[in-house]
Amino acid sequence: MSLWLRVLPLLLSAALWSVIVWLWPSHTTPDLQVVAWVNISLLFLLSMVLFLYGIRLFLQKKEPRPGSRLRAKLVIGAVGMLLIPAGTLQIAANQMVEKGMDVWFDVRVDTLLDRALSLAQGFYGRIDQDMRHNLVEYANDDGLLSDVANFPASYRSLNSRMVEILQHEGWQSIQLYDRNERLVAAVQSEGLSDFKPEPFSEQASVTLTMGRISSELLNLENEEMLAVYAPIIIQQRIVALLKVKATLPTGLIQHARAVESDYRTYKELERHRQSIRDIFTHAMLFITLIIVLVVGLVAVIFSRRLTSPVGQLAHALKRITDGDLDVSIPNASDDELGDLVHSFNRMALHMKQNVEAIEKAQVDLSDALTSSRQRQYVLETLLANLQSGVLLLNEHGEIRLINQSLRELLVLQPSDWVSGRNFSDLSRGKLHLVHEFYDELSHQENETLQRELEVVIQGEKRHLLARGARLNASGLSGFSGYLLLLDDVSQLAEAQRHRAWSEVAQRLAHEIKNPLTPIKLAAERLQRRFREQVDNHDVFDSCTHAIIAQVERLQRLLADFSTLARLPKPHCKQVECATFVQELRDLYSAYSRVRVADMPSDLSCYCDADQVRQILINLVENALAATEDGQKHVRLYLTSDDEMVYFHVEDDGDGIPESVRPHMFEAYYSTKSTGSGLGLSIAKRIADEHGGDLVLVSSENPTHFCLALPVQEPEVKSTEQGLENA
Amino acid sequence: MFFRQKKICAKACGWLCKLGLFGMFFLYASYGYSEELADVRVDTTQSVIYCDISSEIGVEKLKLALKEGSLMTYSWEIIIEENRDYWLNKSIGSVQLSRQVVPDLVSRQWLLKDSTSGITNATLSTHKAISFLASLKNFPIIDKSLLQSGVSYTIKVRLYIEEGEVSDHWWDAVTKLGKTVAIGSFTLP
Repeated sequence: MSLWLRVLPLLLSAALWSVIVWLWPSHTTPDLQVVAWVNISLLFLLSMVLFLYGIRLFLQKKEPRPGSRLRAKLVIGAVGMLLIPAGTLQIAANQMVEKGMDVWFDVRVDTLLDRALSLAQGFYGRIDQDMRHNLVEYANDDGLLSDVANFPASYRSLNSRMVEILQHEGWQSIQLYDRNERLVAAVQSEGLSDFKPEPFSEQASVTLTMGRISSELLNLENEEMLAVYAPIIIQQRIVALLKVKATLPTGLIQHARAVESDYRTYKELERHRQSIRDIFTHAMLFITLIIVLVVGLVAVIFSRRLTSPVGQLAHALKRITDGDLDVSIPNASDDELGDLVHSFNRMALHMKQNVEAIEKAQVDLSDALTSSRQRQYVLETLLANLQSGVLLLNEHGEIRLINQSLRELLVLQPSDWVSGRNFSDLSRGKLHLVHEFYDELSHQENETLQRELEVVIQGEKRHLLARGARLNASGLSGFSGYLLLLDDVSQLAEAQRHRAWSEVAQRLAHEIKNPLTPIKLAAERLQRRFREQVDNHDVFDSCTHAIIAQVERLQRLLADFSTLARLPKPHCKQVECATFVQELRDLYSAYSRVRVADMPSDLSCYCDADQVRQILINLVENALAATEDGQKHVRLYLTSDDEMVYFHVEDDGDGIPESVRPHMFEAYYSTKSTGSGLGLSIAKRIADEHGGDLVLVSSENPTHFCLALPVQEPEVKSTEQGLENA
Repeated sequence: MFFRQKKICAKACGWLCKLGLFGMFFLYASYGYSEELADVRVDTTQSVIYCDISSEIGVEKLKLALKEGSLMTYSWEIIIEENRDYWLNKSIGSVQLSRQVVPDLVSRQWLLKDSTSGITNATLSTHKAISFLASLKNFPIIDKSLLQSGVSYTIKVRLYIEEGEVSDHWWDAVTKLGKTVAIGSFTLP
């Protein structure tokens, strides 16, 4: 909620307090206005309600109830719309009353009323003065005084005198009281038949006591009478009281009273001019406040009815936003809000149905995805464990899948051979044969293709069996492309070649070995029996020796052939390495350039001692042959780690040319004229069959061969067998 | 159920607080009008407690009103309370007295009416008319036997001033607002 909306009730409350202070009645005001206090109470009530509401808004930290802000705005708007014209009306009405007051209480009216009242007072005063004057004359009349003095003897004379005065003056009645306030004589215009004695008034007592003439006004039912009292003094003593009454003229006295009443009313109004204005102001304010309260109440009720569906809608929307779709708003009205609620309920229902459908689809998809992932996992595991290199290309020749075996087989750069790269771009150069194979596969009509390829990887020639298949977009996959499988068949080819050579060697040995022995024996026989008979012994000896030497060479050659062909399976056991070292040291003790390093006595390896010895002798012999000239040395030493023992043979010979290096472990490849080319080949084969390896570490300076043999019986085979079985 | 009752109780407490605030406001307002505007003197020497009260409230306005012919009525209410330290004072009794002056502009005299005793007098003196309305002299308020010796008592004097004819409508009792014009205290020996 915005700050101004929070502060607004407090500001309105403060404004109402200002109005209360302004309207607060003064202490010295005698007229306590009930309406003023009612107004102050209403204002106080309003200000308190606004103050408490403002405080509640100010302290409110959590989000208000949905629709409450709209409700507050509606109420404030309704009351505000009412307050503006009401305030204007109040000010205008006050101004009108102010002006009206000035007109009503005009100074001319004031003067007129003063004069009218003066006239009335003058009329009354004149009658009073006349009666007093006449009465004083009669009270001092000697005849009357004589009659009073001789009373009751002069009763008749007194009575006739009083009747004469009554008739002469036109008064209502004349009464004579003695000193003891007793009525002694009376006459009246209507006669004495309906005479009613009156109590002696206080005014009469005062006159009798003080001896002064006085008068008083008597208000009767239908008329007003003036009573005048005069003392009768004889010899400076008050002996009696004469009371006369005269009826005031009815018409005149009525006018006088009317003037008096008007004057009184006018003066009263003029005196309460400010009060009238205040009463009017307070009355108007009271009406305004009542209207404000009623309108506020109606606005609250109306806005509550109006905003209740809106609030419910907002609340329901919040619930939907939070994910609760089980929402339904009760529809209470038939207006547009009701239609909105109805539409909202339908929307919520549709959303719920859609979400349920989506959730069901999601579950199905999740199941399918899980199944797909399982299949993918199986496929990836198969590909990872597959010895064959697998390459999947799409119809555009872009890589979609490549397994680790292919990367290792072709020594591919992992950063280049990634999904999405074009195979044709990557397979230029050393892999052009693979590219040609893919080209042929993609352009041929047949679905599959199989070729043997010979590629050179890092200077090593490898025989690859390439098989390819075209994948057509059919079935559920919708994928079309090419699947290439590459297998390294170098060892298989090598083994096949070895086997072929072995068979050839066996046959050759069998066919050649048999006549060699008679040839040799015949040559020796010729040497023994016919040497003396020939004249040139040197030529004869040379020839026979040559025959015998060449036969022996052929026999050795055949022995090697036979060895290669029938290389026995190694009978491995744990052999101490020191044994080999000591044997070699003893064997080549005559050669000063052979240096055999000492080694730990507890070092052993798992091997066939005879075959390993043969390898070592072969390596040392080759080294000795390379170091025959000059002061060059041959070094033999051992190193080891947790798994392997390494026999190192180094020499400072001329080294091995780079052109020879790729072929040096091939059978029947030799650079020596007398060599069979089988030594290193046999040594390599023995090392392989032991689960080790024989490698050329460096070809010159020094020429360094390393024979690696396992420390213990290798478990690789059993592991591999286990995998194969699985 | 428990939370519903708790909510209702909280709401009721809230409304009680608001009503209390409202009441405090009017208590303060009435206190503002309780200041002393008249003198009261108590005579405890006789068997009946007498008091003299003279009010100077709006004498000038009263004089003007009388001269301009307005009928004025002064109603006095004298309340005797026993003082209590830790509770509201205990009411012992109250006396009411009403006096009225009826001006006659034509004859320039004032009728002095004591509504309680029914005595009516006429006077030509303005001062006498004002004094008749605004002061009570040697006015008996309560018998001494009803009071206790050594106990402190308070006399509150409320004055209701009315201008014009006194109406006897039922709502006059509600709308007529009096003013406490004097507060006196005394203790019987």
